[in-house]
Amino acid sequence: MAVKPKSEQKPTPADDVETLYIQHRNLLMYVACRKFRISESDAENLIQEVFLSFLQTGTKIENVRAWLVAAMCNASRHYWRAQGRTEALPDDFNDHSDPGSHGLAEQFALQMTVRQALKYLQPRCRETLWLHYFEGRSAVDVARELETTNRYAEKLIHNCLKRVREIYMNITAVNR
Amino acid sequence: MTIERHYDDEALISFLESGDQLAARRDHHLATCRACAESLTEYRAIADVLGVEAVWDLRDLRSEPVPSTIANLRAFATQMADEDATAAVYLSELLAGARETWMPRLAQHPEYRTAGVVRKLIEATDHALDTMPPDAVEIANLAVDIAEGLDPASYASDTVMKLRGAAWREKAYALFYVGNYAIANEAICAAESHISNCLVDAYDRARVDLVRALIYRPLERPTEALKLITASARVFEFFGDEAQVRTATESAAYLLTSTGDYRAAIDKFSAILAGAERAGDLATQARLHMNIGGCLRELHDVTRAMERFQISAELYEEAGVPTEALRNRWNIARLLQASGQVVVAAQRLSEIHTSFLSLGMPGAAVLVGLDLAEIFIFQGKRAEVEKICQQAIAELQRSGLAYSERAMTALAYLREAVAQSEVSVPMVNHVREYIRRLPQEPRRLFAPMYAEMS
Repeated sequence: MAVKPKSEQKPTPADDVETLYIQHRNLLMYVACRKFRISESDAENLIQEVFLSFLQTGTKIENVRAWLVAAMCNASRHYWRAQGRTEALPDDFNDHSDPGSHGLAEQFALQMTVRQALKYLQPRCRETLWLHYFEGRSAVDVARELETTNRYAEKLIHNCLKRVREIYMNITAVNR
Repeated sequence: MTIERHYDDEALISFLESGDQLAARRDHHLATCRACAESLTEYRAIADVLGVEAVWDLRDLRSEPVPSTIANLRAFATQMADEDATAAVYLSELLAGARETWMPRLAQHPEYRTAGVVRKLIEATDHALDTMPPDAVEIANLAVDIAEGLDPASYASDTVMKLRGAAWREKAYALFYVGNYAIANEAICAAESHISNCLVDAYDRARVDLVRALIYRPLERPTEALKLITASARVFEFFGDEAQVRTATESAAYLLTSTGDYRAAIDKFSAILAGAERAGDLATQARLHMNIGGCLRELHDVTRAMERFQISAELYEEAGVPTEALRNRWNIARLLQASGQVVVAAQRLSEIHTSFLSLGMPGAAVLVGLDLAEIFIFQGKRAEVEKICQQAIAELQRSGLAYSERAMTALAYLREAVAQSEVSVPMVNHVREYIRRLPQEPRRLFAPMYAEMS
């Protein structure tokens, strides 16, 4: 006996669609604009398309946020293929991430919150984190770049990471 | 008593900075203190994210919802709900009476040709598959006919393409279900061609591929089927759809049975069964018990196999799925037959034969008839065997199945053998095996037994 894929067609009321759009729009915008480097106006159109697809799935969606984020990635890739160009895309354009280890939606939500936390940091702290965690420079390199001692650079890296986590915790506490 | 102190942030960041994940794993305090372990995980996650380029683009994104998008989405949802409400009324009119009247009725009512009616028809195929499979095929035909005639310009975005894809997918599944595998394969290709034109296509493609994998199994393409299932499961995980992941896992287990790895299949089915029991999902539990029963039968564990089939039949009855309850009763009857309880088996097979006919499943009815024929030969009731052959030929003539003619040729051969008093149990098995394989191989020619043995 075969497995039977069920079709479940329950129209989503207009009020619910509006609520879902408001709830998830910023995350989807982040995915399109920051991960896939799509302009805000085009991203807004894609968000609309993603919600239209969501309304027509014909199955009960258990994890709406995960579904919308995955659909946004799917739509964004299509967008660029339709544009016939990929040179401006990030290296991980085709990276579907590892859904088994960490939900894609959660990864993007984390990125969005850390990005927000970075905005509250002092410029010197941001620069330290950029050098060490983004560029992958050692504490010695960071010390050279910032014209300070190795010991102080290490301390700076620790303090800045600690600070960004504090801000992150504050933001997520407010959002909870 | 020793009081162990928590690590401070400095210590945790030092663990992170050392880059030695093994050291953290070996650390006694981290292994036993959930709070410290969680803090370290959080630090690690933030540090990882700081390595992502997009995080460092600090330009503001417009955060206010766009009123025109909201208006468009609301309008679409409202239109869909209105269309579906009207379609529910149309559907009861359209599907009234015998299925032969449905398509002509559709031709007389252009007002039925809406996206809402397609959605309702797709929904209706599920129920029809459980109760009257040939109806499901015709319902899917109606859905395809309407969807193909819709004007894409009259609907927003990819609505029509998605509907066409869904209608063809439903048709493919219904055809697969009734055993028309070759045509089901063509239908699933049509589904894919429509879906691939959509902006958001990955999720629907995965659903299409899952049905395609089911079709590939009887077409004896298990390797391709397993690849499709694995890829689909990955997409469903990506979309956070655990239910579809479970469906894909079940399909993989189902496929393992065709490669003869019954123990591995039982493990997979049992793993999903626990979840279905927790969720109180009767139909899924029934299906899993039936599949486990099938595996046990292949492993010659007759007693446990019969227990599973019995549980499955009862669950299917409870879930309102008579076709599958009947398949289980058929399985039990065959096991009784194999274990020598031929009188009870014959009585049960006779009832099952009648039930399959009343459910519009002539292909299954013919096979049950041949099981009965085997018993009658064993009992020396040759006249009964001839009667079964005649009845089966008549059933196939009426059925319109793609492989009817070839099956009738095989049955005529058997009837002739009865008339010449040459019929034997191996001969019945030979004919039954040929007919059983016909849905998968409709072009396969029948070879009389002596020819195949020579």
